[in-house]
This record gives sequence, C-alpha cells and structure tokens, in this order.
Amino acid sequence: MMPAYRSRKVMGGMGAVAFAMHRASGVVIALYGITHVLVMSYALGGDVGFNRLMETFQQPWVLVLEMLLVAVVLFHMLNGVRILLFDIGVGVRHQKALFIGLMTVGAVVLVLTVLDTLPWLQGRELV
Amino acid sequence: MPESQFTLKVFRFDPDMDTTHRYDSFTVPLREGMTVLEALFYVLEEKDPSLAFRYACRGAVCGSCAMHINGSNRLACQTQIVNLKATEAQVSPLPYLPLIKDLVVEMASFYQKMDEVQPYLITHKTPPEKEYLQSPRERKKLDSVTDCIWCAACYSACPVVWGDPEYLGPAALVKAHRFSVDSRDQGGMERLKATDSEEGLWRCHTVFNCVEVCPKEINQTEAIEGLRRRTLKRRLGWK
Repeated sequence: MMPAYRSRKVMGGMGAVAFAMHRASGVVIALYGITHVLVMSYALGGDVGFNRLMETFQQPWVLVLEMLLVAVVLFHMLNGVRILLFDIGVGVRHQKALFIGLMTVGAVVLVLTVLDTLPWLQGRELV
Repeated sequence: MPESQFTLKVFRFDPDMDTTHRYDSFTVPLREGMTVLEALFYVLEEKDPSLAFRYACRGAVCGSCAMHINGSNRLACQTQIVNLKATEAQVSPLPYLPLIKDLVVEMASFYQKMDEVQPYLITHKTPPEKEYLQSPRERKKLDSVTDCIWCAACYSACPVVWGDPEYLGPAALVKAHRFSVDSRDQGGMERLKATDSEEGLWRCHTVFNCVEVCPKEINQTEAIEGLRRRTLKRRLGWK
C-alpha cells in the first residue's frame, strides 16, 4: 500500500461543518434514547424507586442538560430538513443560506424554550 | 523579507529514500500575476531539479496540476500567489491519493471509477448520416456539468472517498449525470447499473467539499441529487 498525504486541515466550509455536526448530534440523540429507555424502565420496579429517581432529576444542572439536548435535537431535525430539501431538488445552490436560515429558526426556538423554563429556575414549580 | 518575495513550502517525499514526508522551504521572487505552478517551475529550474510535479496545459484545461494549496485543493496553474492572501504558500499533493513522489499522486483508482460510468455517448441506433441534432434547450441542460477536466480535486476532497475506497466519487457521478441528461445518449440502463448501487450515488452525504474545491465551479451535489431523482423515477417505473 502506497502512503498518502492526509490533510490535517478540514477542507470545505459550512457543508462540511453541517455534515460533521449532524453525525455528532445523531450519536448524542441515540445515546440519549438508550439512557431514556433505561431511566423509564425504573418504573417497572414500582413507583417509590421511580419517584425518588425523578426527584433527583429536579435540579438545575439536569435542566441545563435538557436545554442542551433540545439544542442538539433542534439542530439534527432542522439540518435533516435541509438534507431532505436537497433530495427533492430545493436549495442545493443555496445550501449555506439555507443552513444559516434554518439554524436561525433553531436558535429562536431554543431561546423561547429557555425563556419558558426560566421561571422554574427561579424557584417556581413546573406545571 | 522584501515584498517582492514569498516563501513556498513544498511537500517532499521520495519512496526510494524517505520513510516519511517533509516540507522544504524556498524563497521565490514574486512577480505580478505569478501562479503557484510558475513558482514550482522557479524552484525546479533554480533551486532543486529533483522536485516532481505534474502539469501540461498551464491554462486550467487539462487538470494535471491539481494540488493541495494552503488547505484547499486547487489547480496550481489557476492559483495566483497574491490571491492566497498569505505570506507563504504551502503546497502538498492531493490528499488521500497514493503518493508516487513529491506532488505526484497515483490517479489509477480515480480513472478506473470514471471509466466505470462509461463517460461517453452510448447509442444503439445506426448513427445519422451527418450529425446528432440537439436543440438549444436540450443543450442547455448540459451547460453546468460539461466543464469537468478530470483533475480529481473533488474526488480527493470528499470525506466519503477518504473512508470508502469503493465509492465512485463526485467526478464519476457528475459524468454519469452529464450523459444521462444528454438527449443524444441511449445508455441509461448501462450507466444506471454502475451508479445505482451502495457504492454509487446513494453514498453521497451532501458534504459539499467537492463544490467548494471544484476549479471549474461545477455543482457536483446538484448533479448527484438530479441523478438520484432520475434513478428513483426509473426504479418506480415513472420514466
């Protein structure tokens, strides 16, 4: 096998970043899915253990993790829409603008989600 | 260093002598409009006659001098030093292709994949006496994809190619698209066999690296997506 030069620099631009982040966010969502099923399976052992587990999750740092999860899911979902649009022949020539537009939508939804959960952080009970 | 000079860092590797590569730095006098290829010629003629690199037309038509210049795949003959907007130019061979010597890479795997899609007009009928007629509207469909010069800049920039040596790659798929939309071509099914596979057009992950580096500004992703839609219609019996 002949050797080959392997560039340490990441070639490409926004498309490559979107591709890499889509992969990474997919892995995070898959890991969350497994964790979620494991946590929910505690309910099989009765309500006492499950409720105790749920109480330990009622902490700000868990909420921060949840907001991060919302961000990851939003990214994966909106970039997925971008890729599906390419498949039907929409936006291939404007993929960067499409990416920026969809990410802006994602950022707005994320900010609204965070604002919606702030009262809880200030000590109020979640409804 | 005076403004009229710049540093050219050139990738060096001789498989007969070296176990690993290195970069040699050369000071090159800069003149207006100087290209990276001209700078390499300066090094070859004035500094180190052992430097190996490919070139032919010097006019961005043959695709021989595709290299990795300052972090991106470009044609050395088309890249002016001033446009790099840097004090030095680092020149390496096309990434992820087997190295022969210095800036020269083995292109056999790339050419083999280009051949797989039969990049020529296929006809089954008796040829017309004079020529195949094509309307301006039919010809316009080919406009955006006829410029490919087989330089492999897109192929070498594609992360799917890096990880999957069997993948046809963007250049071959653009060629397949170019002939599949040609009103004179009748090789639809033959070409479909080559491209409609796991290692063919479905492997593209729309990373757009190919589009970023193409010296002829071809939109490979658009071509591949078009080929996908036509293939799907054919599979579903709509066309």
